[in-house]
Amino acid sequence: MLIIRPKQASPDYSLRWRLLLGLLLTSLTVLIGRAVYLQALDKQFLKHQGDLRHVGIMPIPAHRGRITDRHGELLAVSSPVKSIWVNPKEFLKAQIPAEKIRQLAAQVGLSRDEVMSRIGNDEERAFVYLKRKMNPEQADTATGLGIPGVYAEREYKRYYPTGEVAAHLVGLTNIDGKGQEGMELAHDGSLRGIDGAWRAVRDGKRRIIERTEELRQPIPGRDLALSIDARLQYIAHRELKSAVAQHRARSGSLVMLDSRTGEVLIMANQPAFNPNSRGKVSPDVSRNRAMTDLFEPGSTMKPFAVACALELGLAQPNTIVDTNGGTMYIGRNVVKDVHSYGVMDVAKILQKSSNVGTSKIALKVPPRKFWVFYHNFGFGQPLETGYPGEARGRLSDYHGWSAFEQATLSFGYGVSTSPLQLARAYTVLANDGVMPMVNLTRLDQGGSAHRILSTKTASSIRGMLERVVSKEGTALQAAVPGYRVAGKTGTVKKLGARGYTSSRYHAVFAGMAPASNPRLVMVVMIDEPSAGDYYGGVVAAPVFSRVMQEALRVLNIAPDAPLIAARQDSPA
Amino acid sequence: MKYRTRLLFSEVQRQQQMNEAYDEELAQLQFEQNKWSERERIEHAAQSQLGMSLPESTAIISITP
Repeated sequence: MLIIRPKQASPDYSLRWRLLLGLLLTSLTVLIGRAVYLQALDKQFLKHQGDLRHVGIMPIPAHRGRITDRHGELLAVSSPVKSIWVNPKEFLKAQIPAEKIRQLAAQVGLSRDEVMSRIGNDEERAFVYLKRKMNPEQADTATGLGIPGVYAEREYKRYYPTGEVAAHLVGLTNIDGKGQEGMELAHDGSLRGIDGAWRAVRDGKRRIIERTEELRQPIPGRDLALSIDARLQYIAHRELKSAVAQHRARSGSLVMLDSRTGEVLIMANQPAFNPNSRGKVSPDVSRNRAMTDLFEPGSTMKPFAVACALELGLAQPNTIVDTNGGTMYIGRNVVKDVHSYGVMDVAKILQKSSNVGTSKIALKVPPRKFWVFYHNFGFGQPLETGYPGEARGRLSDYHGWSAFEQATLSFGYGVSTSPLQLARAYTVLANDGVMPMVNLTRLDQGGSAHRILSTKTASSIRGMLERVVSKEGTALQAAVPGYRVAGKTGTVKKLGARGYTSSRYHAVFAGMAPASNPRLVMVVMIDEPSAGDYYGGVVAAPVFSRVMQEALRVLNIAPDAPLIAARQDSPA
Repeated sequence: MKYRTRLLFSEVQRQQQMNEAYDEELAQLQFEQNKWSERERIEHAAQSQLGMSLPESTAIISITP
């Protein structure tokens, strides 16, 4: 029997099959494509994003260069210290027992409340300094307490071994080790060095879990050798301090230059400050007055006015000048001397510091030539030492000069200078007419210099200035036993709110030794001595004498004068 | 390779820590040396403890070559 089964139409699933296969293939392709995209094309971006979340670049501070004096004695040095910082996020989450916090507080030298208020209660913050620049051992003990979120960071602290002695010139750094003032600022670029870096891996809570590699080594800063001599600087600091105290002066400055090289051997100021204590230092105290402050040089300018007339042949050392009983009328103005000296030669005019005599000599010179002369001596001209805040001084243009103005300029009013500029001008007289560039850093080879004056005029003026430091002159107290000293005093009326005052003075002395062949030039300026004496020859000259005497001995410069008994009883 | 890197790295770390420790010690010693050699202190010691004084200028004989 034939059984015919109805042919069952087998459903055709092949379409579904293909559809499924197609779908699977498509999704596979998409997935592979995406994977390729992520792995190959977008890798940079993603890796960067991952690194941002987990890899940190931590700085390694570079060692700041040292500052030394010309013989390598340390003036500023960076020593390693540690700073404790806290991650408040971790710290607050960890619920640290009070006892532990007390221990931590004791280690960092703060009270418990101070610690807590520094950390605050903002759980989103991830960094706060707890204590900066502390003893590394103490910092290690503090981190050794095992409190979560407390870390130590290596830093450097600037230390100034000589304290206030050279504080003004050397300057300061801020707490982050950047130069703020003085030479620290002027040479910050080379002192600073370049920080290094290392790569750290962090976990999801931003804790450092692995220190992977050093990206670059820190490059230490270069050392800086200043031109000053720490031994002389100390002597000057001591003497200036005692003089300012003795005369109850507002301030004082002292600079000494090597007259041949123009290197600054001493730069001292009063009042001084201790650069190691980071209290508030007012600019009145921290200013390097020897370079930033201007004053009218008064009679210390007279040698230049006389040199000008001598150089141009308009006067000779033995030219006779009548000082008219100490009074001279120029238009409606009057120039006066303290005493009437009568008829004198040029040398005696300097010796007695006669304003009338100097004016008469100066007025022989045409204004333009006079101006060029002062200009060449560096008045109103920058020192170009690169020192921040260096004053340039002021010398007005000769076009507006009246005869009276030229006369006042000849005895040092109407022109302003910093003590260092005045010292620079005196190097010309000391150095046979050649002015070296002023240098604050040690010179290892000769610097540049310009001739300003003929050798003959320079040595002639020097001879006259030697007579100032005598019994007949104004500066007997500047004498140094065993040495010939040349110099000039200045007692300058200060400019007040209503013209020149009659009770406030600058006492100045500028001089050089040994006069036969000068090596050292020094300017001493005492501002407003108010204990009675105010003459440059009484207030500033003794400081000059004491500092110069020791400097000549320390530098081993041979005496050039026989010891005269009369000079012995001059106050040494 | 990785193991060796880690080993060397830890050695570098150890040496650096030693270096840091020496730096700290050096700074400490420099500080002490400076404190002891302060001019004011030396001057005071020379005058009061050792009875030294600067020679009078009459007591100095200079010899010129």
